[in-house]
Amino acid sequence: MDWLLSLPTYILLFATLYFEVFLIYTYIEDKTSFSHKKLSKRLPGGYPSVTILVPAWNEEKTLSNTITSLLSLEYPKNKLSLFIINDGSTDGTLAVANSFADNPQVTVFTKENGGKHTAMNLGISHANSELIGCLDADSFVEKNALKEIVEVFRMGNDIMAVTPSVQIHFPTNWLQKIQSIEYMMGQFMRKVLSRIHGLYVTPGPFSFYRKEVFERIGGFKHAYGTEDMEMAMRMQKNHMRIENAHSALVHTVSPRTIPTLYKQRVRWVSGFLKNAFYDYRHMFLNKKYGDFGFLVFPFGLVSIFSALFFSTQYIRLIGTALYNRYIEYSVLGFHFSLPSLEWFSFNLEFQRLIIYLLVVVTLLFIVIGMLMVKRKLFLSSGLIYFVFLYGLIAPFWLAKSVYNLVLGQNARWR
Amino acid sequence: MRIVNTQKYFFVFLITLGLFGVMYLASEFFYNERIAQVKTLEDTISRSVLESEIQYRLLSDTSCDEDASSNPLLIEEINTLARRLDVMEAQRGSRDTEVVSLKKYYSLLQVRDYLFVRDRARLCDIEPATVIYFYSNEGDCAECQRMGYVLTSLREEYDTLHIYAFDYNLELSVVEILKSIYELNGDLPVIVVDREPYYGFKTREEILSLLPELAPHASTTEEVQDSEEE
Repeated sequence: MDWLLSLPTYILLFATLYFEVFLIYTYIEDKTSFSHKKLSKRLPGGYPSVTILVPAWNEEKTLSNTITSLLSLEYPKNKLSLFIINDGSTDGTLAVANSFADNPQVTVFTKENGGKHTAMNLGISHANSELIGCLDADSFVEKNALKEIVEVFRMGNDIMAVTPSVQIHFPTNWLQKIQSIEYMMGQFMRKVLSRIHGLYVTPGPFSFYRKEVFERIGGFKHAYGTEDMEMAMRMQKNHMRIENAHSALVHTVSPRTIPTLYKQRVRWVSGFLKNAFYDYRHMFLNKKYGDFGFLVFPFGLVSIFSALFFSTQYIRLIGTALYNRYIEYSVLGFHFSLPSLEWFSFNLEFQRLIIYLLVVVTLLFIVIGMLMVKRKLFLSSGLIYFVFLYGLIAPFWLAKSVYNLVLGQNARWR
Repeated sequence: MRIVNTQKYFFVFLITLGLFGVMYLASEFFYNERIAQVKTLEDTISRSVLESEIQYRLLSDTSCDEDASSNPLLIEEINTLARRLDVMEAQRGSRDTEVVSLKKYYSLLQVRDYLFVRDRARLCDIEPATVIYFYSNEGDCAECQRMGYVLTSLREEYDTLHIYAFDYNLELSVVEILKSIYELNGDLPVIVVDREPYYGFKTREEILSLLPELAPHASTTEEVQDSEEE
């Protein structure tokens, strides 16, 4: 295969393997950080005051459950405030929010539609607590999640933000199961990146900040529809420490169809590329920003192109195999035959062995992520879907995101 | 100001390099194993042809008493060999020197078998069903893939059918001689049956109609179908 013999392929393979080895090395170096510690019944030193912002735009279906899950948090009621911010919804979101207005913990704000970042900034301007967090109105939290987050903040006064472990809420169809596996792997990645001060996103669902973060570097920006990514990048630029609380579980509703997933991912990847290229490119390979500038940021960029490249090749391989079958059937008529399982027919060329190794390491990431999230190993059909199908759908949003970057187009939020 | 641990970066680089090295050595090991397997197959086939030739010379015309139309080669082995060479060519490329060398040897074995079958047929006064097929993997033969499927299916179905497949671009003197004997014009795919070249894709039925030697088998099948209908 000519494409496998080219120098860029070797470079991409080496870079990808290098990054994966770096992550494993970091994991082994600091393995204890990945375990679950028993949470003390009562936090020593008391509970900091917390405000949770829930920006909502046309979320009448999920908002009620979101608020209920927040009110069920195991946290002193007098230390926890909820700000529900209706961002100019055109459905019954405001009515749902107002149905909780009698609760002394809940404050409802309403404003003209201006985007999520404006809703967040409105909440921040009214918050007087030590910690300010957010929760998307399509997400639900475990009862101990906030205590887990606060426990991590207590590990150091220099910790400015803590991210949770975001997982998929009741994955039912194949696409959601793929995302479920992806999010478990993502949890491992987030934890490792936090060990090297490399987190480049503080996700919308249940990330928390010290109030001084906003006082020092300002509030959220539109940031091409990825305000949580931009905020993390800005914090890294200002050498603010971001940690991950992997025991703080948050469940988010995931896209059920390919078009909705496609839109979501185009927004994420486009946002990353635009923030990186337009606003934070000075951090690339800049030692001043440590591993974030020297490794994570550049590789985040390389990974988009390498994933695009390898996925395209994967699609080509599958396409060729299907085409060959089609030709065979068109000539000989349909007949059932299993593909050869003889070892000779397996491609064991050098480049292919490296790809197999990368797949094995990725599976290892999933296993560790699964242990971190579920605390046990289990076989899931999502794993099969993830291994065989993810590579077939991902290149579409990667390609569109690169296209958006080149043409300067904006991705739509919804 | 954050610190970059250059020692860690270097150490990870060494590990990655080491993994690359191990994968390279593993791929070389598998490659050599494959070459060895293909060579063993070729040796087996070569020995089989030689054995048949010697047997034929020793017994002279008495060898015609046996089923002279059957393939003296180990049909299973030759099919396996053809398949494996296809796999190696697809993975290593048609210009890989080892693959080209193995294909040349395979082609020579085929010619040797072809000559043996022809001589034996003359002596025993039989007409073996023989197809010589020329193809190309250089991307200049759109129908070669379809033709390959048809011929493979025929070879698997009729064990008295001798199919000899040659890469038109192999640059082997013997193949060049065959091309000039049959006065091929370069259009591919082409099959040669009874010294007559037939250009372009041919269906199973079209090929079978050129090979009346296989008719008993076909009529037997029809008879079976007829009797079942009755």
